[in-house]
Parts: sequence; structure tokens; C-alpha cells
Amino acid sequence: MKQEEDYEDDWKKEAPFLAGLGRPAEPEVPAGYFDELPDAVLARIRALAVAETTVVAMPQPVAAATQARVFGLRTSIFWSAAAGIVLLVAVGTYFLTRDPQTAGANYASIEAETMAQLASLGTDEVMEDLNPSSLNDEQLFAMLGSDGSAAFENQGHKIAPDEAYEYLQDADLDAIDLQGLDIDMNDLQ
Amino acid sequence: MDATSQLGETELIALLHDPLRKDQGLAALMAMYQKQLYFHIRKMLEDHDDSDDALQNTFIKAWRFCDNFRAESSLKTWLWRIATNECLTVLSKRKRRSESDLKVVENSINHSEQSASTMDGAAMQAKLEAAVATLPDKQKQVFIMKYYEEMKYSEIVAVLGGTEGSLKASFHHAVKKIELFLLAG
Repeated sequence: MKQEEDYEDDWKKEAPFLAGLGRPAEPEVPAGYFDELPDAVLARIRALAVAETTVVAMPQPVAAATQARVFGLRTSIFWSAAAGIVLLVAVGTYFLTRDPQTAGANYASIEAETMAQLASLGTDEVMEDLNPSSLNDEQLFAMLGSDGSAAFENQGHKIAPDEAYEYLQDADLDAIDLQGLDIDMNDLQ
Repeated sequence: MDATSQLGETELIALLHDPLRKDQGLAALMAMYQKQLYFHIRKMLEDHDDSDDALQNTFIKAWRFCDNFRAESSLKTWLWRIATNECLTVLSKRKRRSESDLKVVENSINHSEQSASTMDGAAMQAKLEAAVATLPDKQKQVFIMKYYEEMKYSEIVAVLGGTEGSLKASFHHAVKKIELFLLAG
């Protein structure tokens, strides 16, 4: 007996302060709680039993039909929710991209980026771009072949008077600065 | 006093196994253990509403599954085991929203930060509760059953499982932690 007490109580040597504390008072419980508890538990048990009986008593086809209806309803709710989300995203995207401020900001940002890239180019790079080929005329003709040489056939061509007359008939002479042209006006008579 | 409240364990089990008198058996079971079980749960959960839910769930489960009870342990041990699982469920739910609980514990610790020698009994009990709240769930259960409910190690093993040796070690570990907590200024 003494041995059993030692076995059960030897912790008291390790924690004398805790062992010396008095038993705590029981926590407060709402008035009448224990008197009402059995009825509360039995009421919950009856409610559970009724719920279980209802499910069990439901005829099989009815139960199946109910299940199908519930499944159909769930499916409808799922797809409705999905459609709603897609619609929200679409409308949101549309209005975001239509927003003039946002769009303006985008254009301004692109323009600024382009200008910065141009500003960073040196003159030599620009000239290189404007002069797409370093080939001389002979190399170019050689590469273009017979089709190319045809394009230059008229280099030594002299304009016939009929052709000049026809051109001048069609041309708006008022728009041409005749004084600026080095032409003897008598030749045109 | 109701005659069923004086029933022995065997008669009580017979009532619970009888479909026509099952409710009567439950009423007798509650009359015998509801207070003791409530305070056991309350020490674990501290809050009355949570304790009430856990206690009701314990008796409902006892009513539903009493047909499976084979009297391999006592009814009390069986009930305590169900209640312990209910408490663990509540505690694990609480952990998911643990910030507020931590605040409660911190507050109780802050309020009880006074040296042990200058404390009155109520303040010391508050500090003890705060100390118990810091224990891991399993250790807390062992401590409550051994310290507050003065259960024997063999009885605690019947409820919680495991071995007496590991349970005793766990209790001693908890006791040392709490002693240090209480004596800390």
C-alpha cells in the first residue's frame, strides 16, 4: 500500500510548491445547467433519430430522384458560378483596356521607350541604317542581272518633242516654278 | 432520488443495450457522471460553451454506440475516452484559429505575472491555469487527470492508451514545467 502511494505520489518531491497548492474551486456553471442537460441531450438525440428515420424511410426511387435533383442543382450552381466568374473577368478586362487614362499611359510609355532607344543611337548607326547596302553600282547591277539592267535602260534616253508636249499638256504649269528651272522658254514655243 | 441513479454497472449496461429502455439508461448514466465529466472537460477546454458542446456530444455518442460497448473497460473509462477525443477535436479546431487563443493565454499569463510568494490563492490558481494551458494537449490531459482528478496511472492508461511508464514520465515532465512556471517571477 505504501509502495503504491509512493508510485502515485513521488512527483510531489519534484514539485513541492505545486504539491502544496490547495485544491482549486470548481469553475462556475450557469444556474440549473446540470438539471437541464439530460433533456437537452435527449432532445438532440431525438432530432438526430428523426433525421435518420426520414432518410431511411424515403422510398428508393424517391431517394434516387432526390439525389439526382440535388446533383442537378449542384451542377447548375457550379456552372452558373463558373459563367459568372468568366463574365466578371471579361467585363473587367474590357473596362481596364478601355480606360483612356490606362490606354494613354500605355501609349505614353511606349513612345517614351521608343524615343529613349532613338536617342541612344549614334550618328554612324543611323547612317548605316539609311545606307542599307555597301554595294557599289556595278556589284548591284551584277546581282540584279538582266531584269535589273532593264530598269536602267533609259539612263541615256532623250525625250522626244511629242513626249514633252504630251507631258506639258497634262502638267499643271502654274504649280511648277518655271523660273527655278534652267529652261529657255523659247525652246518650248 | 431516481431509482436508476443507484444502478450498478451491469444493470446500467443492460439498460443501455435494451432499445426500449435506452433513454432511461442514458438518463442514469448522465446522473452518475455528468458533473464529474463536465469538470474534466472544462479543465481541458476552459470555456463553458465549448465544454457544454463536448459534454453533450460525449453523451450522444455514448447513446449511439452503446451497443458496441463490450464492458472490456468500465463505463467511466469508456466515457472519459469519448470525452477526451471530443476535447482533442475542439482543441485542434482552436489551433486553426490559434491567434485569439494565444492572446487569451498571454493575457492570463500577463495578469498572473507576480512572484509566487506574494500571490493570493485565486491569483495562484489563475497562474496555475495559465501554466497548464502552455502544456501540449496530451501532456495537459495527463496532468488534468492525475493532478486535478487524482486518477491512478493505470486508470489514465485505460483512457489515453500507451504505457504506464511513458505516461508517468509525461506527467513528471509536465509537473516540472509547471513548478518552474509558478516559481518564476
